[in-house]
Amino acid sequence: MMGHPPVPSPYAVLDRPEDWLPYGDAAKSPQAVSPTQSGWHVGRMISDLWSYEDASGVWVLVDGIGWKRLSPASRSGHTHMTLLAGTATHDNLPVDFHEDADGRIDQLIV
Amino acid sequence: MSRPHEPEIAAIRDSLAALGDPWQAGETPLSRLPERSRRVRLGVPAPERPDSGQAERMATEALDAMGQQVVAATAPASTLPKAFDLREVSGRDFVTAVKDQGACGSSAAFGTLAALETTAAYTRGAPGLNLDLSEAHLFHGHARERGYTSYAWPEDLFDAAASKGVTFEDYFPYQDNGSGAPNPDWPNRLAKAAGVTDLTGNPAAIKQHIFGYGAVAACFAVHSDFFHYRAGVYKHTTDEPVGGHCVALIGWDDDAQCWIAKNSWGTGWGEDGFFRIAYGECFIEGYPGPRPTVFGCTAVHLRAWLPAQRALRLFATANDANGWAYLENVGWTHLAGGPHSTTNKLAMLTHARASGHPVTPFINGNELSTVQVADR
Repeated sequence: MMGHPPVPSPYAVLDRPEDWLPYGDAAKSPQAVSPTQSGWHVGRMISDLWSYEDASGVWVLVDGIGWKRLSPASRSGHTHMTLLAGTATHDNLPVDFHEDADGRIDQLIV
Repeated sequence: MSRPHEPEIAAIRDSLAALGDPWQAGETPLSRLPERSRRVRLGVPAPERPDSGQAERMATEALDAMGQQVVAATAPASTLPKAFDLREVSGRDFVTAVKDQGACGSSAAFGTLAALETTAAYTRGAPGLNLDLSEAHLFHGHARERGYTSYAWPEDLFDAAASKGVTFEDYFPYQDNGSGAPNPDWPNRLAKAAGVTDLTGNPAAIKQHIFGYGAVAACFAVHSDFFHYRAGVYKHTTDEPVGGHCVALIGWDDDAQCWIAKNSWGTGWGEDGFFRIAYGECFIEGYPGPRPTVFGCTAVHLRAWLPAQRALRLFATANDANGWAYLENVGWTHLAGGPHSTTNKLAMLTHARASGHPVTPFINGNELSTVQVADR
């Protein structure tokens, strides 16, 4: 049977008022800042994700460490690490990750 | 009733007893063949001139290699060990099944492909790769094109394996009578050797290669007692060589002062198809002949669909289009096709990684070109 799925109507996407800036800041931690510990971290769990309205604005909450931003070095790399972080969170899979000198995750294994 | 080979074996046993029984002779599937049929199961010309002190020099050099700094970055340790066996590397077996060349002088193809199959698995750290390459393609196809019919030199076969590549056994099954033809799609089911290295006459380099990259093909002079080898460290007891043969060296043992080799006479011969041969024996490290006789390669590139397997780990970095998957029987493979293709593949692979669904990969070079995730 053919039917119409409940897709968003063209009117559902409205412009926002011009004086409203984007909410949040991709470069700032959503919550408590965790100290930089450059190098590899092994066997960690990611329990939360946070995404700003920015092409490279994803943060992950690493259990026992705190919020870490995924490195914005490239858009595709940021998306790829987001995919892995999503799987790790959803399926409770441990991750190994590398933290760069600025405290951002630049390599992620799940 | 006495069978014709029994007196022959009895005479070898007498000679071995005089030497302190370094190895055991007995009836093998080759013992039961007439002398002429045994010789057909070789595959390289006999060496041109007799030993002139080479054996002793090779044995000394092989033993001296112990503890040498390892060259290959991929090797499992930084110095050469006293003993090494690719069938048992920290509990992992990188050597593919023993084959049988039958009544055909195709041993160089079997030795060459045993080296390729093992190198492909070992360099990827993937014992489950379990490649089965087509000796028919290499010998009845490529070698025949170069004019060979009853033997071949491994130098030419490695050259063919590097320039044209060799398809998989299921695309051109081996028959010792040379019948059959490759599947026309063979360029899409292919292994290609890279970094082909001549190791002739250099036992330390042979050890370095086996330890760093995997098995090597080596030729040696065959004496008539070799057909009756059952176990132990082989040293010839009979005088004149009856021909030359090619096998794959898969390890060594300094305590027993020998190489460990994989033959192509089925599992009913020798030590389940394998044998040990003393350092320096029968020119195993290099013939005094017209062609170099010991070769290895440092990589084997694949272009083929491989069996369905699990994606055990996924890896991504902040760099553009840098996604990797660790496939159970292939090891780490880079995701091909640029940033968007990497995103698509990772989206599929994260599902497979989490659910345990097997993925069917098409590997092209060392890249994961295409992947199918079946929800079965």
